[in-house]
Amino acid sequence: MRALVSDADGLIGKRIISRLLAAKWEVTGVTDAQTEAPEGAKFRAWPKKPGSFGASLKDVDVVYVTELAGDADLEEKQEHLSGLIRASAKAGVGRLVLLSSAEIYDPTALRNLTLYETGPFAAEGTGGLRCRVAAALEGDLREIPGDMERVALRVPMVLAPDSSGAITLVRGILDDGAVPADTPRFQTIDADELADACVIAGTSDQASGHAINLAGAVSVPTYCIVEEIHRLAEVFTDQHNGEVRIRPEHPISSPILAAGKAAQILGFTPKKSQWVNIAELVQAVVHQKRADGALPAIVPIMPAALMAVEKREKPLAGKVAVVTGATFGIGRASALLLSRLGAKVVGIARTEDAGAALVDELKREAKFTEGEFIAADLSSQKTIRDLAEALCADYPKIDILVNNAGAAYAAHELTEDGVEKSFALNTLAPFMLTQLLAEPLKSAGASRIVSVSSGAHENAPIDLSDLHSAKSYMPFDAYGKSKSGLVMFTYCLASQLNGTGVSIHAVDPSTVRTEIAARNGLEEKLSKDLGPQEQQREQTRIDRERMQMISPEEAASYVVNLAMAPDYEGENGLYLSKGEIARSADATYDEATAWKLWDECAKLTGVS
Amino acid sequence: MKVLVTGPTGAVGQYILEMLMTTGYDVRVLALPDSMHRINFRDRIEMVPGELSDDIALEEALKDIDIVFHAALVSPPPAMKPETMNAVNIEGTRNLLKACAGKIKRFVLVSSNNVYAPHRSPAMWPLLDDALRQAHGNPQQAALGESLIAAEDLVFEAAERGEIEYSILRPTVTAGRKCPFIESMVTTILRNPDNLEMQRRMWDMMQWSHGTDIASAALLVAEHEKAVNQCFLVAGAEPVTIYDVQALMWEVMNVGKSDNPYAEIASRNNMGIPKFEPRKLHALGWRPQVGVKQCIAEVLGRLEFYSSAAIKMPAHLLDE
Repeated sequence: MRALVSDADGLIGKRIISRLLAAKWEVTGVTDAQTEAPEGAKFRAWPKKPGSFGASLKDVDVVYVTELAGDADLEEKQEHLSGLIRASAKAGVGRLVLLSSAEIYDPTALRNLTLYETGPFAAEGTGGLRCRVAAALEGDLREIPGDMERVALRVPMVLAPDSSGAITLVRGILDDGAVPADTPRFQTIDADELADACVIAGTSDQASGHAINLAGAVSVPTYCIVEEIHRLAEVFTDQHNGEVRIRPEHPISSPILAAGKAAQILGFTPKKSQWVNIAELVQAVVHQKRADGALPAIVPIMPAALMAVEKREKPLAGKVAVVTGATFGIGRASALLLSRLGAKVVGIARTEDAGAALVDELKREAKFTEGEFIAADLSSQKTIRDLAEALCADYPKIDILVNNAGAAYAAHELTEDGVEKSFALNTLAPFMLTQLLAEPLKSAGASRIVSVSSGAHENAPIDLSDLHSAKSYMPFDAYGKSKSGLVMFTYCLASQLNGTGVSIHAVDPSTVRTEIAARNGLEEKLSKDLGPQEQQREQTRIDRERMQMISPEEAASYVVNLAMAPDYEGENGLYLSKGEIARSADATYDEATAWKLWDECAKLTGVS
Repeated sequence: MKVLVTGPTGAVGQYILEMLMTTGYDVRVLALPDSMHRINFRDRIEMVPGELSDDIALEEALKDIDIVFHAALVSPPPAMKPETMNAVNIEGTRNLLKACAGKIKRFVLVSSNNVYAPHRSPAMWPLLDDALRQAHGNPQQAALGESLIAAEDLVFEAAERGEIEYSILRPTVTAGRKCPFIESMVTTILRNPDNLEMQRRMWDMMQWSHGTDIASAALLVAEHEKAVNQCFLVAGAEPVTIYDVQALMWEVMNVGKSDNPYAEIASRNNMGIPKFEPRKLHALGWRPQVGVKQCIAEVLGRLEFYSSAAIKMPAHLLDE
């Protein structure tokens, strides 16, 4: 089968051509544009003299005239289209399908009534350009002699994201609030569905000799369309709210075009909702505006640390990061992440073997930067002093210090210095180490210190009268108190650091799948009295709880992001809950208590 | 050409295996010993029992292999421990990559769209193949994301060392014979048809990919020269919410009727704008073939759900 399609690169022309090609038709397209024909079709220009198509119309089965439904310049083309219709009849073309316009009907009736194919029509010589051209071409189609089969399809506005007319309309509504004048109702048709209908009209046995209305199923008051366009524009620009976006209920108005004949003769009922068309158009307009710079581009919301990993950047190259407790849990994950971002990591922990494994991993895998490990037990003040001395000697500059080492202990124990263990490790160790490393931290310029705190501090304010929990000891109460102490130390130091370039922040990474609650005598042992099923059930409960926790890697991303993200430049003494800036427990903001604690710590450690 | 499929009984692996039966490839599968009875086409393929941590089994499985389809990654049922998942997804992939190094022509990894950074807001649509990755969501989902991202990273690193060439597929919610998520959606709708708002929020906009479409993508990229060291988003064409699923279920169960009571709420909840655009696969000529309605019909068929809740008895039976 052979077809000739006018406006071959236009809105409907190109869609018809692709459908015909898929059905193995031989297609000639007519266009003056210099676009390349799709594979399988050939394009020709409009003839100089209207109607002189020569051999192009020979043996053609169907001619499609599609300008009226597209964005083409009708003024310029009218004569050519009229010529094409006449030439087709003369050349013995089998059938001509004319895409006509709903504007051919009487404008008052278009506002108020539902129109059938019988009219009323606009008075001759009145109406806009599209109305006049439609009337003239339908007149030609009716009047020219010959036995060519003729079909006229009358369509309202055609919507598609590539229709410049529709885009202009939506842009106008968005930018200037320009509401289409004189059209109280809105009924449209989708370009793809229209092309489907055209193809059917070109071949259907019953279509010949008919004028047929084609329009989408639903007609809506125009003000609803305007509201919807504004709502959608907001949806497509608000990057942060992904939640409620249900379309409000809109009233439906009586249809402008009655579409019964299309269903009856062509067996064609449009399926695509007008709302989907509108959404596509608004999305296209928003994307256009982004491309023009009229709307800001979408910036991915992602922590700087993860972004750098994802983009394989090394923002910390050449920097030194000291991480305490670097062999397990959050500390190990932080060390790996810092190393992946290019920092030279100095890991501190008690276990030599685990440390060696860390150093080995940093060396073995290409994505990491080589690092170092120093074994030290931070619950001993002497060890801390030795460690600080060694670090100061080896590293004149330290850019990042992560005070991560922390533990909870099942029983009340004192360190060799006579301090309760959780307080010694969780509060005093960061207090000492940070201050003993003051020189290299200050030398590095904008260095950052991160205290890894815990949500456990929230219900456990520090008790100055019983720092060593001598009166009563509950493992996680003592742990929480010592973390309160850590937060208060963080705020005190932050207030002293203003202006030095060094900053210190605390972070609560939330509940993490680590072994912190299963070491130092805290292991949860299933009771031997339980039967096997009950033990299994208990184990399932424990596993389930663990599954609600985050991974050490995620926790590390919060820690490391706080230690390096440009977002926090110029800030000091922040408290973060996961990745968000938050408030620690109210008690930790009590400055008088905080400074008393500071003095106590200074007394206990000899560092001030 | 000889190919290896890992995870040949899984949601994707079984479809890859099935589609391979229509090609001229010689097929071998690596499967857990306790899943071998569920492998299809057993008379037409070679089977190696073993797991990904078993170096000897891997060596046997990889002998003379040209292409590996690594579909043996797990996404957790809620009761799976993150450690187990990591052992399979990360350590398993690491072992397999080590065994493949320098021996095969292409490594096709079936990952998931779960690796992409959150993209709920329509302002960020359409999501494209090379969007940024970030584990996110509830702890289980985040754990899955982390393990898949880590597995992908291992593949990238192996390619950087020049040990393999890869193509990675990232399919959306998978439909087909094994689709626990869709089954749970369908049963939830059947049980509680009037209260789906929670489900809508949870699932948001979906674009299901059917196993056959994922398999056709896998076979397409496996030998395509333009697919070397590329990641591909795999997604069906139709954006749907849980309400669309409900409306389509009604259509399947009420053939010939047109007064769908769920059509309006479904339409109001769905802008009709795709969230995912598998641009790279489209460029290679891939098009999804299975629509959402067919996916649902499959599930309803498997659940042996009969469509009429009320029974209309012939009058003469009611007289008594």
